[in-house]
Amino acid sequence: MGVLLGLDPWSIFLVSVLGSLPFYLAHWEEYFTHSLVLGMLNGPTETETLAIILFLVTGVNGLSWWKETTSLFGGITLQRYKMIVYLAIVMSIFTALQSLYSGLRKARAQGVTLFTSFSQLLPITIVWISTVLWICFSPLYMEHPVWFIATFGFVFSTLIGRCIVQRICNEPFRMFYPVLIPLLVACANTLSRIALGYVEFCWHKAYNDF
Amino acid sequence: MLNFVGTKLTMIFRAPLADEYTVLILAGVSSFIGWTHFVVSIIREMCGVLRISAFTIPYKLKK
Repeated sequence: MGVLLGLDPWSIFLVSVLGSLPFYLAHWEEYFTHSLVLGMLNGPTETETLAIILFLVTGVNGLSWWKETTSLFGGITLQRYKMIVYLAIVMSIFTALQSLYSGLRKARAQGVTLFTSFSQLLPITIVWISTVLWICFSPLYMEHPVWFIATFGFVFSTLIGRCIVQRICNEPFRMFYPVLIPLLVACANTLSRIALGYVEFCWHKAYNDF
Repeated sequence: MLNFVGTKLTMIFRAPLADEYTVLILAGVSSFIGWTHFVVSIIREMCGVLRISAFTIPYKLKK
């Protein structure tokens, strides 16, 4: 969908990481509430419908239509594809916070401590933080964005699968999974640039025109 | 002495520690292997418990 909208690799990365946030938290919330609430525009059906609409709009108007600027309320002008990105970011964060609040409230009602609840989110937090650091500091992201996003996708897919199995079978959450190791090693290798004085914040350089 | 150690460390630990492209490919491949291992293990477990009757087994197990 990112390519469909003509998004640059940084926007695709931002939307993929932020899009994973409410999805995982919705399944984590279900672990306590026993009901899967995916929130507004966060369910698979809504996403597929949205993708179909975006495909149709691009098919009718062409890819360049998304690059055109449009004026919003208050005299703000913005490119159309950026509107979609900002909307996705706001919706993702809002839905994620909603799931987090609901999950924590239910966990406390069940007598689960806050420490236990948050420790269940440790593996996925490691994935998010290490992915962001790895991609932001690696000079290779602009050349090979597919490899980066695919790696994140496989690790995230494994963790979300584990989470679903754990809540269906009422299994306890683990604090660490071996699938995190490649991501952590890659992140540490890239961060060694900072430790050894080769600081280069690639995100900032490449994202200036956004 | 400190300068000597520092020089030697800089010679040994060059940034990044390993070639970034190689690490990227290895991370991608190994994460794919991890994901495949998870998917296969779940399918095997489900097939074992439910004797390949259906994929709705975990819900049956809850009862």
